[in-house]
Amino acid sequence: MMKKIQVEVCVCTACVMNGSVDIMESVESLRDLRDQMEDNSTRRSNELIEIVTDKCLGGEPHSQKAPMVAIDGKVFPKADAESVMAHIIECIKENTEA
Amino acid sequence: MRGITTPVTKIRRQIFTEIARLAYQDGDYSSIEELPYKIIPGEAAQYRDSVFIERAIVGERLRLAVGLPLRPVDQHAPVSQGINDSAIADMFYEPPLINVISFACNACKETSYIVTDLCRSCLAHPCTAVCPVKAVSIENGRSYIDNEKCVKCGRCAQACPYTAIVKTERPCAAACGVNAIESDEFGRAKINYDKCVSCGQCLVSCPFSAIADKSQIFQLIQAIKRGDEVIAEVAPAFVGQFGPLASPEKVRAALRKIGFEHIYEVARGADIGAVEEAEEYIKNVPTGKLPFLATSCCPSWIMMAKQQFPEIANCISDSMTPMVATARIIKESHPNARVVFIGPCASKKLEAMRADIRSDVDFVITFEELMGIFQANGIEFSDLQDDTGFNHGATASGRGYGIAGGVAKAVTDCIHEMAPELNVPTDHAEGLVECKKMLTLAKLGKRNGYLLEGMACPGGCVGGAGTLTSIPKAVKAGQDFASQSSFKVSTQDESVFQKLGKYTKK
Repeated sequence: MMKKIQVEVCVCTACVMNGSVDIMESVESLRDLRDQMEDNSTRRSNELIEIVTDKCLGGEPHSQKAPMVAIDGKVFPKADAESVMAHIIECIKENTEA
Repeated sequence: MRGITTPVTKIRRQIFTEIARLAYQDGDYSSIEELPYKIIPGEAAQYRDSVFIERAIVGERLRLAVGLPLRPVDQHAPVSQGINDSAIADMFYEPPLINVISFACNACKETSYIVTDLCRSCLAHPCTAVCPVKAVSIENGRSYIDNEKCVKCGRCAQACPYTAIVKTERPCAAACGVNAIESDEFGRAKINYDKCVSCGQCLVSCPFSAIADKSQIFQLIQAIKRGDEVIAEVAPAFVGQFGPLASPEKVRAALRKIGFEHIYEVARGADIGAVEEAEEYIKNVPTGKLPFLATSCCPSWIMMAKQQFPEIANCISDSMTPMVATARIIKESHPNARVVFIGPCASKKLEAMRADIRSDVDFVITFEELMGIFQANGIEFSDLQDDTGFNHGATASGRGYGIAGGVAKAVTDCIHEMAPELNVPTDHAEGLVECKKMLTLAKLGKRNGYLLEGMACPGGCVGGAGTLTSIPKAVKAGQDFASQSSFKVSTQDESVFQKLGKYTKK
């Protein structure tokens, strides 16, 4: 059983204004990427990615850091879709190799 | 670029939040001068050649967000010029609504076909054979298009086996369904306001953030601050716009928290409109008085239809839009209220200030602009208690008005209830280019007997210029909300019949 990757996306007002919902969608889109990847490592990414929406990751208002995303506890302030997706794919590969 | 957050999106939204914050301050608003430095910090340019240009563009966008006109580029004027006069609790701005910030425009090339490096100099070169005007030739072993001769039919691009020929377009012009984007002497985009129907699609399609519409949030906040009885009417597309935590009940609570006394669903006005348009159809189309009936809720669609198809303009329902109907209902019981339409739409801003009809709408703001006001107020949806006032609200028909196809469905469902023997063929078009195609068919007599729905924005209102959420997410959320309605079809709600004919006539 492979480890799930937990993606927490903050959806407080500041984060939504700065596009956290779009980041969520790009994470969801990874589930359709399986067949395009060269190797089989992301084959089961559908079951591997768990998306949690949360308000104010870290508990404090953070308009300067919005949007905030955490992947397996690693916090990405001022996150963007490309770095979040890249990190998730890396995590999936690491988990498969391990 | 809907559904993708880009630096353009972020700056646009940050401007709404900052202008809302500014509006809540008292007295002198000249501190707007500091905002370009807050929004574009540091000494190094992030997006363009120079940080000074970046700030100047932000300055213009801030002015438009206040409702002020653009400054002439060749005359000295501070960003704050006119701002204290604009701090009134009434609709302030003057047309044009949609503005090109000329020095932000990249002067993108007008539509043309270009041969790229993918050209393999093939023996067949079908690109030359299909050109009807001999614009394509082989020069130095490679395909070459003579732009003087080219008529932009695109046949060469279709014929190339390597997809080596591409069409390049200005994104603003590509998004414009009425060919209103022209060029100024420097090749920059210029809007022909005789053609523009204010749908706002150009402003969300410009990758250089050079187009913006004027906002009324600054004046709305003045009205709230003054203690006016401010009442919101929210367009059906509002559901799901403000993030996963913002259920319709939380949005209500948030609106009340920032000072709205009551919140009405525009879908209630849509229910009335649906029954009236069903009646209009039954009365006119099967009897042969009209060849077809077109729905009337999207103002950009109506403007386009009347401008470009005057000979069939009589086939468009003359009902007022759900926005106007709802506003009139509100004013009936709250004559002193300030009615604020909150929607996805740029076009409604213009509709509300039309001089020939009494719209009863005092302010029009978009979802994106409202989110700026929420942020300025520190609203967090998760901290709010549900406000259940939407119970016993609009029917599923009315709540479906914001989704492409939803209006035609609502009206035909009503027709089925009222005249079950009638068979009603329907067609709908989304995006003004598609709308034009549909009306061309109708003009040729190929849509006789039809109920036609036109929406200027792809996807319907959920794809409007002032939205925050991707279309699929908004559609899903809207459908969930509609499924909670007590009644499925507008005709099933008795109270709708008491309101017929009273609110939608000129």
